[in-house]
Amino acid sequence: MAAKEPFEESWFRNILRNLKIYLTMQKMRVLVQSEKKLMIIGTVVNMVITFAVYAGFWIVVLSQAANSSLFGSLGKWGLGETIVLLSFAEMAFALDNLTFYGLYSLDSYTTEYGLEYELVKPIDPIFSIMGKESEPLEGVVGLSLSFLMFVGAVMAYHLNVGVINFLSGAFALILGNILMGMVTISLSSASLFVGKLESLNSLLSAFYTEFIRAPLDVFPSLFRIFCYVFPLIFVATIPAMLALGMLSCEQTLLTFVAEALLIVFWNRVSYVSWKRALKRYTPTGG
Amino acid sequence: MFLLSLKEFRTYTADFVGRLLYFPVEFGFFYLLFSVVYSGQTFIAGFSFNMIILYSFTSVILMDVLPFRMALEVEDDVVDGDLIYWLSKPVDYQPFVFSYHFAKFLFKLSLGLLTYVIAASLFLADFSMFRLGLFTASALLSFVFVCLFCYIIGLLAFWVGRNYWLRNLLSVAILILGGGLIPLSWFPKGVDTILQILPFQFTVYLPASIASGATVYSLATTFFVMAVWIATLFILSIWLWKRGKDKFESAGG
Repeated sequence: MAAKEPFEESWFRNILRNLKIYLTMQKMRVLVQSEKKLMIIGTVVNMVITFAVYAGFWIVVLSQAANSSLFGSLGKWGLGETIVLLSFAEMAFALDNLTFYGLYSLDSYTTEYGLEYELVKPIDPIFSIMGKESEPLEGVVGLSLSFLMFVGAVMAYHLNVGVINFLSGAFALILGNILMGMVTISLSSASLFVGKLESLNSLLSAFYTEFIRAPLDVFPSLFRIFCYVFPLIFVATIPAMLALGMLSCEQTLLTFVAEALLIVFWNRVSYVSWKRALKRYTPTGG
Repeated sequence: MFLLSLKEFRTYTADFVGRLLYFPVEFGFFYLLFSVVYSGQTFIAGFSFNMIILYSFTSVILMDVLPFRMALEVEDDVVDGDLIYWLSKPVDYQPFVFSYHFAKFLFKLSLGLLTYVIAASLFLADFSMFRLGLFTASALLSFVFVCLFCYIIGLLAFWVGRNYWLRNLLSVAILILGGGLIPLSWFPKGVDTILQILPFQFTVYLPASIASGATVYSLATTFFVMAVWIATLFILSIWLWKRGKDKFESAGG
């Protein structure tokens, strides 16, 4: 067995050290952002309006779909349930702002500038870029607002949501966020092989803005399978279904097992692709 | 040199492919959604399944070709102080910005029209050159309307500085109030009447309805109201420009 280098850290210590520096960076970002009060007000206004727009969209679509022969599957998503789904989607956006948001610009670091600066820092470049580019204040404001929207929908539509249900939904939301983060790392790593990927990031953001606000379980089965493998369904639909108690105990268990397996799969894919990508990096650009 | 140029091209190839993928992904979402909504139904608020698919198709095209980025570019020029560069040129700022975006719009629209013709011949029973001409005319008017609207929002940076939320508000307004997601006729009675009084309908709803073969009430009146809105916005833009220019400092608005 090869002897350990004296400075080599264990996997766990490495993660802890990176998280510690990452949190310090986040604190600094909050300090900088909190000076821009107008931005915070703008974020709140934006979020409320975007939420209202998509709620309006789904109200209209659901009312027009009432006579659809597939309304049985669409029908379980009543107005209250759809608003809960939208609030979970907003929570996912907020969580993304807090964590992996910065990784959408990873390709700029690899193809244009700056990855070499990140490589010499005492923090993993992925954590460093996340810490530099994330929007913690928007994330916290977004999380609070979306939680209020969720509570509002539950109260207004007398939905039967227990604490356990909500907690399992929230847990699934965090896992979904981690999954999408891994997908983002895997895709962005490809920029070192194929070049600029700005439009691919736009594609990801289109997925986020359009698809995760939709109840993905009502779509045709082939598309649903795609949403499981490319884990869009875990971002908001599954967490909302868990919170609303739409899944039975067996289905809940199966969902978490599937999510755990997907995390293992995407973790491997993102790790391998990022390590291979780093080997190709030259400071003159990928 | 050859290899370098090849490498440079390669750098943007994947980006280009990603850009091409964006359209089918966006359109695919609406196709899947409407196929669920329309199962067992032939007509919803004046739109058959084929018509709504064509409506979504054209609305995705329009959302792509219309110059929404102009608001950000004007805002950048004002806030960063780059406006001084344009003020020193022997050309007025407004015509310059408009013509720059018009060239891009024409190029993108011609590609859009080509794909529209193919889609319309597949989905629309009564497709004619007259409809194509009408759609092109309404898209051109829509361009002028969006240009003026975005220009005005960009000019507001003279007074409010960075206004990300206002720009986002515009895109959200166009998505729902302009019919970017669903036709305005799908809204409940009363709400649709209000939406059809507001100017946002000219951005996507009017051209996409014409393109999809849906009935648009009194086309002449609609075009007249649109022209009035365009004239009003034009006057407002000139007034704001004059006021804003006096406030401008080259170190940034």
